[in-house]
Amino acid sequence: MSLSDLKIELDKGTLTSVQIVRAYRASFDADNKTAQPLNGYIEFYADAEDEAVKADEARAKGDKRPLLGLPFAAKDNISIRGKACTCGSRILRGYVAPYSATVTERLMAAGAIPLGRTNMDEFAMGSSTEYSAYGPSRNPLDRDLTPGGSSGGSAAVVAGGLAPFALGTETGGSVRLPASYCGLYGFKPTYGTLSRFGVVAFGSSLDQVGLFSKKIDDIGLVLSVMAGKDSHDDTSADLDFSSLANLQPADLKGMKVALPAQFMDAKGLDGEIASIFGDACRWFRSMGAIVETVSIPSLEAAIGCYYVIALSEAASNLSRFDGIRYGSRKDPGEGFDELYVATRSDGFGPEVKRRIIIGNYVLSSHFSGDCYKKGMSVRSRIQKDIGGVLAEYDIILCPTSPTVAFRLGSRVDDPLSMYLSDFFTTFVNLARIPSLSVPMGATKAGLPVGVQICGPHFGEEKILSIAKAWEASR
Amino acid sequence: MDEKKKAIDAATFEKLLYLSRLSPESSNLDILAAQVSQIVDYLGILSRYAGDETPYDAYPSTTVEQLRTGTAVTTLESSDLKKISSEFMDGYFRVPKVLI
Repeated sequence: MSLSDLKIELDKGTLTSVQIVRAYRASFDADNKTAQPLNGYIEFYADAEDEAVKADEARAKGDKRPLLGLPFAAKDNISIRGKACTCGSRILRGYVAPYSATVTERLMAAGAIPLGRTNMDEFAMGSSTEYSAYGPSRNPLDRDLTPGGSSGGSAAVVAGGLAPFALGTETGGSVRLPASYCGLYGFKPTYGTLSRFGVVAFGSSLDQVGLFSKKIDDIGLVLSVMAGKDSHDDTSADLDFSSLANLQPADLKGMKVALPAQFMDAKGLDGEIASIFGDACRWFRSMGAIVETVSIPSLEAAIGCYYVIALSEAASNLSRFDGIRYGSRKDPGEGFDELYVATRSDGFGPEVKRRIIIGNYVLSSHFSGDCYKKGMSVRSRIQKDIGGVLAEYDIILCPTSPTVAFRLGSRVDDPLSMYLSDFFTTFVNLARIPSLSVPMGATKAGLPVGVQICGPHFGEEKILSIAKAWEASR
Repeated sequence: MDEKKKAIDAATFEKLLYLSRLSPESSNLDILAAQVSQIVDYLGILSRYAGDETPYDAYPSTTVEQLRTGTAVTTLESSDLKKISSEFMDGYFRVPKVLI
């Protein structure tokens, strides 16, 4: 059931929070006994049922908080006070969050119950969860396939019926890609809509918390609770998002929709995905929208630009993991530098090491020349180009991924190929705009295909309202 | 600034490992170096699109991003700082709680 459906049942009194949490726990336990468990949860919290008891008691006393008694799952890089937070990494083994992230704090203040922390590529670096220290998650629709990444665990638990909604994080598509692979809505808000306080940093100028759900109203409701100014994060926006709790279907008549030619003509775009995307364009036209192709040449450099910036910021952000302050330590007893090297070499997995090395290469003008400067220049150009298109058009429409979910193990030894999975998603993070992956169809093999609706800065309501119109037409 | 990138040879890779505080023994160096080189080569695509754009003028603007209209004041002299940080606690200089 979706979050909205559960809320209706709770309000009617036909379900209790304890029943809901027990049902998810039973599903989790049953899944763990299968030959190929989803491995979506790293940990299912033992105290979730206790919190549900408290929620039911509060409801009986007239508590009307918007998410009272409704459970959620959160990615393993989002802090919840008193719970482990390991970012899918061995280096954070034993680390317990001393405070909650603003997003989880606000959810819990609204009455929501954390069910557990979900699997992810180590430090959110990957597109398949295969780089997790806890092993890969599996796609509920075909367990030999990846659920996508890096928030693959969150996608797997929602699509697999182990949670009604989940939080993930995005740096370059880590919510939208798994949403597309698992047939879910996956939303990446505008940079600044949600506070990043308490979320372990990867690429600070790109990171943003995102959401997975089965219904569009769920995203609106949860965003209305979590979004807005946070004094702990100066990049959070001082805007009112309360209207998102009551989304209305958009009227698409006369709406202008831009299709980037660079994506339509992209090498490697699966034929069936192109066909389903064509159907989506026809639906927009049938609703009265004006759909036109536009050319944004700088998009061809988006992946390269993204990796220059993201990896530079990652190399800097991850320097704090030194064995002194957080998590595990390996001390050969030879001095600080040796302790740092031993801890990091033992604690980080291969993909994180690869990205830190590339980040340090890019940051060193001695080695890379003006690579970083070029990356920043291209980012500026992409931002201006996207801003120009969105000044003339209401939204940008494109597939979320060039392929459907791929087989586990098929790309893990080819990092560049893995990076190119993000070809359609990274421009959104570079431009800091909001984007929603909508499950708009399935291939003949039954694998879901996502189409993303990208809007202007803080155009959350516009995007979600369009998706609501799509959902209503199904 | 040197426009020409240095090839990632063994010596360069060793320096990058040191900058990253990672041990050469912790990974298969040949594979890792080859993968890093392949990715760095891919980043060359930026040269085709980089221009004179500055990176700081295309961010979303909200009211909270408006700069405050405060007045800059001079900081404390180092001699004054030394006076107020002469206290010790746990063997370290005790930092004053507020510097006005």
